[in-house]
Amino acid sequence: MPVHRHETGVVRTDGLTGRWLSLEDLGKLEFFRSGKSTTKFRARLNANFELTAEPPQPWLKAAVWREYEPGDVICEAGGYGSTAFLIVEGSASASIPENTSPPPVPGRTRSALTRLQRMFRRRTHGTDSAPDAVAVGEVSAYATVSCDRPPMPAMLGPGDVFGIDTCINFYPREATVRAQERCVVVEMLRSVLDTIRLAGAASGGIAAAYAAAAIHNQLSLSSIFRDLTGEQLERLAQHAELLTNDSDALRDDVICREGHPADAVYLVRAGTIKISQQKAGGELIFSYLGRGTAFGLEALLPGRESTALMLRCTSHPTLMPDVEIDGSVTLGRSADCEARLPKEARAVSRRHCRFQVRDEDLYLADLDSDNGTLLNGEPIREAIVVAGDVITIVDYTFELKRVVRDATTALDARRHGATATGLDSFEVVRIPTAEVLRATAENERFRASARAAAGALAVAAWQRPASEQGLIDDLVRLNLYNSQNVLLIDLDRCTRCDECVKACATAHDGVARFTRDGPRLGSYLVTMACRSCTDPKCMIGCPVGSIRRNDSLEIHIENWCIGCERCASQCPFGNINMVELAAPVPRPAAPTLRATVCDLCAGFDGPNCVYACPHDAAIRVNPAAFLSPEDARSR
Amino acid sequence: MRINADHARWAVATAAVTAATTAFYAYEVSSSPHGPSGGSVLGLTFGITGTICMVLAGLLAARKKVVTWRIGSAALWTKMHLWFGALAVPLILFHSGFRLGGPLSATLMVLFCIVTMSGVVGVILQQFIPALMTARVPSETVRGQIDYVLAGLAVDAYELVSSIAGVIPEAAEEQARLAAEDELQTKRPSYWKQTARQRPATEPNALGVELQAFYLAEVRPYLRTGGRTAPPDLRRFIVEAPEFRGKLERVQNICEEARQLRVQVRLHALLHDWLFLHVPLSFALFVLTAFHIYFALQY
Repeated sequence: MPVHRHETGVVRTDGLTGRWLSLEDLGKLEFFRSGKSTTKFRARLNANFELTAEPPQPWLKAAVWREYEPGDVICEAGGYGSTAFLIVEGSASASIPENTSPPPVPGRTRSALTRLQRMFRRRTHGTDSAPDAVAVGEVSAYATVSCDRPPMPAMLGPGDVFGIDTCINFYPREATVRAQERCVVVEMLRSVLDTIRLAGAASGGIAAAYAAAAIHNQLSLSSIFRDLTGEQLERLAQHAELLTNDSDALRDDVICREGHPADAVYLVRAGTIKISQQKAGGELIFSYLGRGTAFGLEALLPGRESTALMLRCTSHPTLMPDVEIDGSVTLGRSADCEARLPKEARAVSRRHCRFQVRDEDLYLADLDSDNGTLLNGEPIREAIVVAGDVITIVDYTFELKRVVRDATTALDARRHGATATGLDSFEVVRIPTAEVLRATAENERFRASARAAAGALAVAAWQRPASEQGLIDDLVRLNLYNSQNVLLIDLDRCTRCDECVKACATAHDGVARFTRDGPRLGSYLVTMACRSCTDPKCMIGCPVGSIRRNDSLEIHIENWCIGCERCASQCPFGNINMVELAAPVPRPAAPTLRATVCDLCAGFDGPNCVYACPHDAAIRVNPAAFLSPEDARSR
Repeated sequence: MRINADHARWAVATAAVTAATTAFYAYEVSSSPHGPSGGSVLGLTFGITGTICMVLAGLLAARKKVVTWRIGSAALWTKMHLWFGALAVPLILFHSGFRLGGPLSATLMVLFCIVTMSGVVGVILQQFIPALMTARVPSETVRGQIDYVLAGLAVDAYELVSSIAGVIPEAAEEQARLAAEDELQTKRPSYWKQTARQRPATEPNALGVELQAFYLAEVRPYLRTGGRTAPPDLRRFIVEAPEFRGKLERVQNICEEARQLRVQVRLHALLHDWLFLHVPLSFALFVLTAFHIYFALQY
């Protein structure tokens, strides 16, 4: 929405009136009062703005009072933003659209140069490689904005806060909120929202309402659960919980561990989840999952035969029951041996030999016994053993046999095949497996679709070609999984002429918004230009709310930036630069620096850096969609 | 610009036009009793179209002055520059009848040949130098920052060596720069790009004297002036004093990075210096072409 700012602080949007709110104004609203102490709450509000050297401005510029007529759209699904809303008076309805396309985003090179790109197609791999590949500047597939069966519209009234997901996680708005009657709304930036979430009287209610809405929406939007009835969805929602990186239940951001019971299914609501296994050489990352995906579905796979490796004494069948070789098993006369031989057998050492699983192989090692260990008739110190091998210890002969377990595997025997770890900030919906299995028992179609999803995930995860592993490792190492729009420079084409930088500076009052330097991925340079992260750390904690997304992908830094450098220090890639103001305002403690960041050349019909490259070397892409394993290998 | 499959249509069009003009020229040669002439109808046509091709090619320079204007991408204009420039060659040659003519036209022809050949050299260099730079200079940085980076590397090396060997009085510049950093850190503690520096060693150690001497004789001169020699070898110090292995290996890496940056300077010069010939002579070519047209019309 176009914003017209007047000297008095009155804001007009689309003909409506609105005004910036001061600390006093916020404090007067009943909703913002702390249950314990207004003073404490006001102190917290003040603390959020203490970085300003001068006394707080009359207008915070972090909260604005807006009034809407019946039928007016307060916010639209698919739109970007960085604000949340509080309804002070009136009511509104929130509805998730059905199968709509996200709105076009400015800064899309493709729309501007479609004909030329078709004539001069320059890439022979990596582009349009998948039907759902995200094009430059488009809403990421991680941000779901429509579904096949949207939930019923929710009614919102005074005291309800909405838009928290966009405000905190910076995803496009999930729902369209429309005023049902004359409505007064306070639109606030994250700094104010965080204050009331942490200190306001309604903070607990806000958190609970947000979690409930998040769980309901995620269940409704997930294709896995599309075949469930409303009642079944509601039951799952009641048993589900929302886990975040702040949750006490999680340690080190590990959501579930490899080998642990698969007691829950998880839906990714926000952020990125890394799926990995521990291998001999270290951690092997299989995938990273974004919003709308699911993991932990192992328990939904159809029951299948599982086998166990058993040690059976063939020379003395009644000596001991079969011993399952799982982990480490020691044979000997000692009482603490898992496979204990009679203490009268003096020729057998107290700890004679040991089976141990190492690097996915089973080893048999003689533990410096007095009379040695034979493997298939041959004495050994240490050797790999497999089913069918015969082990002889003095007069005792054992055989390794693989036996089939009961086909109906118990629930608690199903285990996670990989470790899921949250990267950066994340939100996942945890649904107990028992509830999901109950739903599969009641709903034939859901059982089929859930198993199909589980099977597809297993295939995708465990059968990923080794060639893709290098690319995944690079995407995680360079944090590109979090990036929606990256400026890559093909170094094999680039003549280092710096035309891209000159064009950027020309388009931005002489100050280039990126640096032609950075890490490499194969022959591509990942430049130090804003990556339009799905989880933009830079936008957290701005005391004056000057860094934000408006209604499109790019990040803007408004002209009321006070130069505190918080956003610059928080960007993990150094993509925000502080520049001296050309003509600083001559007043005491006035800002002399301002943060600058690539804004995808909003206002132009495409990024100028790409447009000005004479060698077709500069491209702006979604790296996960564009890059291929060959790019990671070509070093 | 990389000549690849993206240029196929341009190449085919240029070849087709060249073939057609060659056919016309061959016809003129065979049908003219006194040989081909630049003033004949066909000769003038060749001259005019050749000049238009040269002008279109030359407009790339103007296009680069208005980088944000939406009049076609820079890559498109570069392709135009290449292929219209290539097309101008047969046209101008056919216009001249493969004769030098008088002083002005001879000068023009010489200039035209130099400009064309320098352009061809540039295109050839652009086919493999960028990839060579990518492979040989993993530590590449922005060309304009190399001197600054090298100065920073010299300071980093001094910091590491002095943390083992103590203060080195001869390295006054490096000490001054470290002092300036300390001052900046004090003035702007929120300056997040800075990292804490290591302090010079105060305790004497067996390695100190020898390392200091090596630093002054080999490392510091290499970092300040470089040359084409291999970087100093600190392996014997690493072997003698494994407790300082980490720091010494970093000094070794710093020297290697300096070497790479100097390779980058040389490759960058190779990739761009041909423009010092190509661009000014192109302007001279246009100026003289204007004179040629004027005199040709007058007489």
